[in-house]
Amino acid sequence: MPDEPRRHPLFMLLLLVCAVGTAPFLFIGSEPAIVFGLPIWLWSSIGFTLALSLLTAWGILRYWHDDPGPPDGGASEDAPGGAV
Amino acid sequence: MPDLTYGIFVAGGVYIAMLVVIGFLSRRARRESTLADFYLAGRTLGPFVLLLTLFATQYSGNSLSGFPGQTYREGIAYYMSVTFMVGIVTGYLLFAPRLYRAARAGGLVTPSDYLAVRFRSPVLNYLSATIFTVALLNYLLAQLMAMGHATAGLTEGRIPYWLGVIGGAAIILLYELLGGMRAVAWTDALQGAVLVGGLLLAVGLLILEIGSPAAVLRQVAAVAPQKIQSPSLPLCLLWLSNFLLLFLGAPLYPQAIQRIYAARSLHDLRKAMATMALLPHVAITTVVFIGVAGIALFPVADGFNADQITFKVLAYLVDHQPLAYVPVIVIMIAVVAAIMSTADSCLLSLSSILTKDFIGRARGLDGADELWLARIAPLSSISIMLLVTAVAVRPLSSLWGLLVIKFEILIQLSPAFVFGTLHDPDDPGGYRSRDVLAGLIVGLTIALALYGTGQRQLYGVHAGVVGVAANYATCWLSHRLRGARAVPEPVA
Repeated sequence: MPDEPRRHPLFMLLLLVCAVGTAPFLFIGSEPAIVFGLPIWLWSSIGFTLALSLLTAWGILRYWHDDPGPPDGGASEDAPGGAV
Repeated sequence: MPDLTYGIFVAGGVYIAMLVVIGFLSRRARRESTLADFYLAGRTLGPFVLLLTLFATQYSGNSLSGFPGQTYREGIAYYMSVTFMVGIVTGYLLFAPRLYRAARAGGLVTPSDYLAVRFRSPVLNYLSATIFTVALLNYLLAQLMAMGHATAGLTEGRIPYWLGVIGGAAIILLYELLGGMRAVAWTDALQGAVLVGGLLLAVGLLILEIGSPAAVLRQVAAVAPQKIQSPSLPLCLLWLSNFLLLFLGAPLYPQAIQRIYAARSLHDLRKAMATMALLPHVAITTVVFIGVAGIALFPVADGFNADQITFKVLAYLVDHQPLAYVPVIVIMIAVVAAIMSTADSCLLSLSSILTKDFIGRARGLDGADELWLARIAPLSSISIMLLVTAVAVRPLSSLWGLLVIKFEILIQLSPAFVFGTLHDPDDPGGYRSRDVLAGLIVGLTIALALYGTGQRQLYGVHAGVVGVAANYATCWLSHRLRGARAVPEPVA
């Protein structure tokens, strides 16, 4: 059965949370406290951006696949094979 | 500062020779005289070439000189560029899986081919092809102009602007005519490798010369503390608006869609896409770092434009690092490579749209006439390049002003692809062309009206994003209302 990432609501919700989280709304007007050399709001944006990209890559490998191949069990060229 | 011109001429000459050799090699690899072979490399691109061609196409000259310039102006809040470059890959998740399947099943060549198969509306076909053309013409024009400025700047005027434009256009046209998409993808692979190598070299040299990112930020905090301030509410809204604009708009670039069509297999496409989602953390973080280093080194833009900060930083490195001469030349060639790799992909996509969507459909040609279309494909490329080069040599500011709105209009095609790929063409519950057209007209009208009245942003939100919100709402409402009317009366 073909699958695609947008068929998975929880996955899409997580993407949305990460995307909105990248913009540092929570730190508006605060003093730029420095942690390990970077402002804390930048750490927050980096964390959400990293989560967004890892989730996107994971979703592509996990949820995007076509028909698994012929019924004899052999995998077609497009089969996910060892999909993560 | 040591004279870089000689080194740039030598490295540039070697680079151009390699592009031409790749063009000839790709010509020998051509298998048949079809549109799919010329425009999609016969759908044979493997994961490595696919990744590098996606990378080189998506990262234009603007990424290497414009993003550091923006960082220099706005401070580290321009880290938002890493976010929106990741967002482009996330945006593909909305429609690419079904699009890839449709391309394989229907032998699609252009993005409008998909809309033709899905919605069967000539009006939508021509409207979408026109929108794609306007967006691409802008992009190609911008790249040719950037090439003219880059060659003039790098050679300190020894190669004038007009010669840079014409020379660059001629080289791109040559290898593209020789090998079509195969030549473009292979040269993109070279350009992508130069780009990645150049960026990593730049960061390495900067860390050697002025210290780690934390040390550079300490210097920025001392000389320009406002550049590390927490972003304000309007800036946070702009951050999200930029994300939405790229998330919905950039995956619709025809050259990006055609790389989905050109993949050898879904397995290869997924590998390339998954890697693309991670690349901005290396590539864009690097260019943001160049901008931040620029703030530390040149706190005041004294007698130079912020967009020249990359070259200012490189010149500083050459002055202070004896080892920097060769790496800096590689980085400078990488800037030209980034421009060329975007320009060649734009040209190829424009050519395919002119050939297939306009000429092919206007003449009512079907599959049997593909040979004729494949024969005129090179003529399409030549015509487009002649036209855009002529404009680039003497740009008209009024025309330029009109074309700058590419994203604002391109993004309006998003519902057609996102809603279109929800259902099969024959599904009676699916979206119809009238839904999509209604949304498209509302979205375009709002975006252009806002833009035309000088309101490019409303509270930090781009005019195109406001338009596409109305577009999605209209499209959905039209679909729902039609569905409600179509419900049969219950039988007693």
